[in-house]
Amino acid sequence: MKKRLMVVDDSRVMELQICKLLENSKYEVVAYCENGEEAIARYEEVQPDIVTMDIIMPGIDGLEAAQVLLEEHPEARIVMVSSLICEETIQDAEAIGTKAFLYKPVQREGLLKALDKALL
Amino acid sequence: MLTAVPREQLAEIFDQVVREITRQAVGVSLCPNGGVPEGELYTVYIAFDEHFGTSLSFCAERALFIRLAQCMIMEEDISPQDMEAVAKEYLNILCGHIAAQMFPAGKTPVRFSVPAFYPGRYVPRGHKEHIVLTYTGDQMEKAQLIHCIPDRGACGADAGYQTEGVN
Repeated sequence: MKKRLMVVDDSRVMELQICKLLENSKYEVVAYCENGEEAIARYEEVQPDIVTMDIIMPGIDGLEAAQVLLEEHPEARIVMVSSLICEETIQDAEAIGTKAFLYKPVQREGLLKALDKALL
Repeated sequence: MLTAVPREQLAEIFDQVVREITRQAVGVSLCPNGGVPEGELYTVYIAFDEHFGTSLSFCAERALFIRLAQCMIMEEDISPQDMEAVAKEYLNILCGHIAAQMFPAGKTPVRFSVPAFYPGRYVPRGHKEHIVLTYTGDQMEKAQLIHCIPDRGACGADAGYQTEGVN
């Protein structure tokens, strides 16, 4: 049975790209949310194995959304995805309790590695 | 606060990021010093540090935007909506990497707006072109990366203008 992903990103391009990159893998995208608020609202209903979360989004940012998700669902496995490579941001993401950090542009090998790490 | 960084250093960072990320993200090689984009043009635009009013635009021929989209979402048929969405995501990624490099260079974190997409070659009104880098894609498509700064001599309105290439 495939592991179920919820993609949270204000750009639909990221969902399309992740779907393609995960073809013939043990993962599948089952839900797409275009902002943090939607992710928080839908997590319970979707019950994904992993959430990929963009950081810079309109409304609450990805780090804040991840924090809320982890407060409400401590079992949530979250992989942060961003093009903003900044040590401070990575440390913030780790401190919140997210499982991995993935840089854009996302490539298949890096994506699979980050998802596998999140499942450990 | 991109204007705090010397122009040459800024241009070098822009050039390095645009070529490297374009190659990584979509496998397209951009060679510097190409001709000026012509024909059906589009511009994707991001404002940096609202308070300081600098911005970065990527203006390119339609063929390059289509190819970016085909490579990025791995589909042959690209709708205008796909083209726009990919262009915005592409510039977002470029700006993320530029901001990451600017942090040590300028000692100040750089923030940027949600990208906007325009037909033609867009430059925000009341701004002047500070750095213009010109590229040719490996299928001869032309593009420019344009960094604009406020033109203190101009009477500023916020709306921008398109200068050429509207289909």
